[in-house]
Amino acid sequence: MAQKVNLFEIEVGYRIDTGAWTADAPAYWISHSAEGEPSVVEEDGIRMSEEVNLAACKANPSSWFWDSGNDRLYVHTTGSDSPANYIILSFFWEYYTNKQFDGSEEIVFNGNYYLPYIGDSIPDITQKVTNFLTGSYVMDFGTLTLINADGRFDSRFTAYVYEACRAIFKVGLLGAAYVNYSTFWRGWTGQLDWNDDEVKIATEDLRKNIGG
Amino acid sequence: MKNIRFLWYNLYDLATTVKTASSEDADFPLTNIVNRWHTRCWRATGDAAEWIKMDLGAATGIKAFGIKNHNFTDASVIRIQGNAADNWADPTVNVIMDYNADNMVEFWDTAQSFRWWRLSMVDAANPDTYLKIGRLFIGTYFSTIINFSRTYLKQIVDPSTKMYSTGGQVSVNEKSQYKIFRYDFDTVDNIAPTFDKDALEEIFTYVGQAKGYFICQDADDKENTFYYVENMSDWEFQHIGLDRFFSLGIDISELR
Repeated sequence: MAQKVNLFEIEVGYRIDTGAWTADAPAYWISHSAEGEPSVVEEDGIRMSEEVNLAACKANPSSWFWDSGNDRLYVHTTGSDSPANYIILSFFWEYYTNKQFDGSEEIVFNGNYYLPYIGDSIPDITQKVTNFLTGSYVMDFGTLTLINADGRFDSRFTAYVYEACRAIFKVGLLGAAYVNYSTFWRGWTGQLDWNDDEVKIATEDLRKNIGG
Repeated sequence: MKNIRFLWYNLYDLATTVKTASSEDADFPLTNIVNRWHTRCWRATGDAAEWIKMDLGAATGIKAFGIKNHNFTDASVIRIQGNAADNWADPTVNVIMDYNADNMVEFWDTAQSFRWWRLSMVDAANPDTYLKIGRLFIGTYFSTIINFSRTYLKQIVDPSTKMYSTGGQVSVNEKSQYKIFRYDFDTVDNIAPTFDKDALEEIFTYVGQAKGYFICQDADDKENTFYYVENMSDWEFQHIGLDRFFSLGIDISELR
């Protein structure tokens, strides 16, 4: 029997319109080295389209391009003006686990070191049928607690958005390949509650608002 | 058997120590080595001729260099090098470290005072095709004049939890084992030249229960007794007489 390993993956938003932008008209770029390549970029809550090169980004308003060689994020706003005139969020995935290991057993998948900030237990989960007519059910995943003893989240809540983000919880056995981890829950984060030692992230199943 | 050594003031972690590497994987930068989690590694992009260089800013006496969590093979050649200048053709200190699959450490009885230090790593047949390191220590160590009591405690802890069915069949939530130690210093003197009580007090004031540090329980068996640890309780110096003799018991746990 191998050890059980939990993985929590969350697509965090990062407020970047207040950053130091450099004009490369009609696009603008910002250093995005700490977060890396975004998964999504939004302008005032609307997804911008990802382009494959800078020329395409410059040709298309409401688009973005990731320059991996220089860790630059280029944004071409709908008005072809400064991103400072909008609310711009870049999204990227953060990876957490409940335990880490030395040597070849380290919890690293797809080049991502999973940060060991999860306590050892799986949150309570309940399933229920919400409405007889719709026949849908929701999974209530309870609250996930991340460790904040070293203040990681204190410094991130000013610029990073953890609410209403896509999130995935996986469980597996030590030594298993990533594809063999089971997706235990997939949903959205709800409200946050944090103190010096912990951050509690409520979870939501958006199906609870469907039907009825 | 040599007396226990405390490797507590890590020059590698200082912001004033300039660290550079021959290469780094973008997902596993060199800055990871400063992180207290030894599981969070720096990775080179290759394995044939890699190095990590440390500029201490000025010539500094070094008596210990340690490595925690690496992927070197027993065919590797790992050298710790020290030199007055940033030139590595013929460094003054050029020691091949004894291989150990977990931790590696090198000691000098006399401080080696140099500004530039470099860890040279050659492991061309490494199956990972890259080299990695979780934690490094460079600095000096403190060793008490009188060693801890022979009746020290070493406990291997298995925090796994077990549940039993009504019929007695067991199910186990397996977790990683780790070690805890208790060292009782029956006599900590506070006389020249080492002023052990003052020195130990300085160590605990610096590391407290929050910081990780290294110990080498017995440098004659350094590969097997070199641990990355944290304090599990406060250090209580019990005065036992003559204003200069104390006793002390310390409880420490291996960091995971």
